[in-house]
Amino acid sequence: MSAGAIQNQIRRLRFEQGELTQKELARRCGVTRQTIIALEAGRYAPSLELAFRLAHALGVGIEVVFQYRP
Amino acid sequence: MALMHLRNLPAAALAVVAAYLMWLAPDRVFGIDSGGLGSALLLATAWLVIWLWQRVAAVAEDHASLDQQLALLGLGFSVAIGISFFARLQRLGWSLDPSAAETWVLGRNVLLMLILWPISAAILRSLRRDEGIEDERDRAIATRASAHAYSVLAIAVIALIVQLGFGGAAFQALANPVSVAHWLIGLLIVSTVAEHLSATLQYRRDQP
Repeated sequence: MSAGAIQNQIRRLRFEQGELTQKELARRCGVTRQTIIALEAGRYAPSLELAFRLAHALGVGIEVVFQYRP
Repeated sequence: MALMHLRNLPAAALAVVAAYLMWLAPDRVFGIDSGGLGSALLLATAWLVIWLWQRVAAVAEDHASLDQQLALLGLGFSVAIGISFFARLQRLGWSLDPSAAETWVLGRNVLLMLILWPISAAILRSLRRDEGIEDERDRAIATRASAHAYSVLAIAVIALIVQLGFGGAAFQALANPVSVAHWLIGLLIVSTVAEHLSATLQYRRDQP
């Protein structure tokens, strides 16, 4: 499922969080590393729950992680 | 890709030879039952592949999730079952005589594959060092793949129904109950191939 109009800053925020690895972020959110890769590449749009888990794991608000660009 | 290596060529070559002996070769080669020889070679190939996979398990985990590996495994086995099934069915003239021994031999190689498939999947799971998570993306891919498989099956069944109704006397002469049952099994195999192909392509599409 393409991310479409939803963009994210996951990769940038990972590096700002002390170069958090994809694997560690995936572990914190309960998903596979490949899902994190798909998210960062804009090829997958997460569910609302996963979006909140990502924001919580990155220590920022959800609106900082995801932006809607119609 | 680290998984692609020249050392995998012998296993691939063995698999090709095993497949030829099992499905396409004459019943006896140099006096030896080719089906039995092919089965033995296939088992040896499967052991070799599992041994090789153990050596690259750490790299494989980083490259593909468990569900992606299982989708690829499923695609391989379902295609192998399809080739075995349709090749032998074609040699039998697409119509099966319930009293003939060849009718029941048709299922031998398929049964072997159906036994090897879950065993290989279980071994794949046991080789994972992580928890082998199935996450929401895996479930979404599986749902879409199932929908694609259903569409393929529906179209194929409708095509068979139309052929049975309007295929003419020659086709209807082939359509004894055992033949129709095997044709329907063939459609299920095609549907299974479609499901695993869809899942594999979706995982491939999501990779950068």
